[in-house]
Amino acid sequence: MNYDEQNSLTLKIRNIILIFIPIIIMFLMIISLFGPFGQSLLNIGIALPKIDIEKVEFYEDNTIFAFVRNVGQNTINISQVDINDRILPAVIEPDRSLQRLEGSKIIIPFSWNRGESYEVGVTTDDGTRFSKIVSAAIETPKIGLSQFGAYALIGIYVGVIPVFAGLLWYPIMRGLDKNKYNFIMSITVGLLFFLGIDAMIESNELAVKNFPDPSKIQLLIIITTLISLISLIFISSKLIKKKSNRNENHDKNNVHEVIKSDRAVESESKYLNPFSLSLMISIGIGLHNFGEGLIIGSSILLGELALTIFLIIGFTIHNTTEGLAIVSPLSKTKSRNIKRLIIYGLIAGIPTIGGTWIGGFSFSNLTTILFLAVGSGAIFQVIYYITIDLINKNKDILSNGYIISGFIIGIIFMYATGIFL
Amino acid sequence: MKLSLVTFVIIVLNITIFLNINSVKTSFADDFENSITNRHVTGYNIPKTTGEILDPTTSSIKEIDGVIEPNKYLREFNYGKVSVLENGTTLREFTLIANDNLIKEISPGVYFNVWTFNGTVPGPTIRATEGDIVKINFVNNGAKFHTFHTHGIHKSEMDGVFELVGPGGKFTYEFIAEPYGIFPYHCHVQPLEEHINHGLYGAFIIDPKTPRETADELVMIMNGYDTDFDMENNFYTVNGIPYYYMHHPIQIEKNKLIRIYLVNMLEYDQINNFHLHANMFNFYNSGTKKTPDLYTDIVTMSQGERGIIEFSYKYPGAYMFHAHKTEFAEKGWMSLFMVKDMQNSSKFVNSNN
Repeated sequence: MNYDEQNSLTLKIRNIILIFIPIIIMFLMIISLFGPFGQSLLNIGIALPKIDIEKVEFYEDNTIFAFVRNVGQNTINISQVDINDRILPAVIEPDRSLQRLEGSKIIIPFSWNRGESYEVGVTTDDGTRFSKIVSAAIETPKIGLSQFGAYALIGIYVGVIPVFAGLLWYPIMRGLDKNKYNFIMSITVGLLFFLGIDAMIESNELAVKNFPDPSKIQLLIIITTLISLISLIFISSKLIKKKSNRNENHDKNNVHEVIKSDRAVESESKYLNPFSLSLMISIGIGLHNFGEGLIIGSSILLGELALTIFLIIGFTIHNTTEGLAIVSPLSKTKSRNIKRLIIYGLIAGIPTIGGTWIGGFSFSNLTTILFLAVGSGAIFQVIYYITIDLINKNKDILSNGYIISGFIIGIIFMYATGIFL
Repeated sequence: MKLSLVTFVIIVLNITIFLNINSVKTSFADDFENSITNRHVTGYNIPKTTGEILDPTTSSIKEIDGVIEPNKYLREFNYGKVSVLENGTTLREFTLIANDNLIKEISPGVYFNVWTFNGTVPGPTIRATEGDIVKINFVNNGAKFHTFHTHGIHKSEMDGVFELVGPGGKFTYEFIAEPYGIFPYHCHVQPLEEHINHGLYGAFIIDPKTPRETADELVMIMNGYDTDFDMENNFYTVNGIPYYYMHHPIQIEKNKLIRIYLVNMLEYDQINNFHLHANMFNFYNSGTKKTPDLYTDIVTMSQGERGIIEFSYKYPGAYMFHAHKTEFAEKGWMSLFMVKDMQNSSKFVNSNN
């Protein structure tokens, strides 16, 4: 071992030690915070009990189930149960003592009436009452074929048919001149922008309504949306690179179908061909529709009948425009590949069915919130690519009247259809 | 687990007792009492479970942690340390110690920081005869200001409003008991709502010089607890613990005169009331007259209002009494009388021998 090698070895060891020193300091600090010193230091407030009533189920044998979870800092004992603020005998399984994040099932014998509103409450050992309101009681569906089929039908009605109806605009889409293309594409951006924001607001609403401490969930919504957006952009650009490499090497299968504007010729391969864009829109919308399915399913499960009907009508109208969004990039292609169009439609529409199933049978607020956030990330990713596409094909999109008016009309149109929600 | 085991043993015991008694003829009342802890007023039985039962309507609380023993309180009257002055007047001395740091079980499994006179909610019932001198040695063992304020006729400085007694402080209240009637006493430190909600109150009875007719006398204070401080009561009770007399029915005798000294100390709600089943009663508003004001089965009171209720039961059996504000009833202010035919039950004992 010569001097240099030895020197580099000590350097390595030194570096390793240096890496660990801050971690060790942090570790020691955390340990001391849990010790007596930390306990006296952190003894600055009262940890209030927090109970989340996650789910309420109604059964025909005159029982109501309530699923509760301790989301506070300390162990909590459930002492009493009430319906509509009237104390009732009940049973709690496995037991009344809930560790942090532990859950229990409460069974309350109660002759409930279909369609009436009930507030289920629990009182902890320190006398704090927590409650959850169900707007309209409805028999909790058991997982069965008929229910499965009914949910699938709702999913098809809300997600698949409207998207396909929108795809029928494809023939009109073909042969549009550049201005009309810009106009339609920016309408799509407007539509998607609305959907992305709408999904975030929707998930925020769920967070505020259902979590005693929504700020953490709100942060989670933003983080999930961002991660979804960035990782989808990363995956898409990898795919595009691969594709453009292949296109350069082989017979330019797809690209020869595209009539490129003069300026876009060189940049086109770096970005997207219309079919990739359409596919991307389909995937983004599919993720979004999965979230919509979850919302519909859960509103059925929670007995929000009026809301369910409004959701179905509203989403149906909304989703027709999604079909338009999918076909809009294809205006300059000469392709008559109907099969491909059908696949795009299915990618966008089918997830609604899956969402309705999951939402309708085992609803969790957190999963719905997460899927909505992933969906809005996917939509923002699509907006990013369409915008780049528009920038590549136009000198200055912000001074282009077709693009600006299209964007505004897209948003306003979605807002108008959204009034049904 | 322990609790459900105890419940199970009680149920088994009840069934065996029930079967045994059934072999000899008994009255309806006995049967009912034996099965009453298994019976549900909602019509639905608790489902079989591997978990725990949460049922304040049938389960009791551990007496050691309980805010009061309602059956003891019901018939416990404190006449004070009695001495006769030179002029022949009776002097009654009472000691009332205020505290505000106890945590007691107010309903099965629910613990609340109660503020108390002598450690219970309601505080002890104090009783004197019209014209007696009443001396209250008041000690504040709490961490906040408290006073003793009673209704009735007395001097301003004995009213317990302006002379606030601080932590560790003492005060002696002295006044002549007048007029006869039933009165509430309570702490009069602001915020009043807080001091009352936490339990600083009790009943004060002044008997007329010529005593009332002999009766089985009971004292009842209607109250509530707002345990999560949202200015709405979570529990309503008579004598401190919700539903207590549902699983410990008050034993009374058929045809015997029952006299209830009833006080409403309920905070936050505008009114409260008392309704007796299958019977009618005479009501003496504030107990200040000897002729009844009402012959009825329901009486409604605002906070601080009170009166005397007199009745007797014609038939043996279990009879409910509760607030006819059904919300209060279904949050704990629901009770039972168990009327016994003493002659029949003595016959039963004889025949058993």
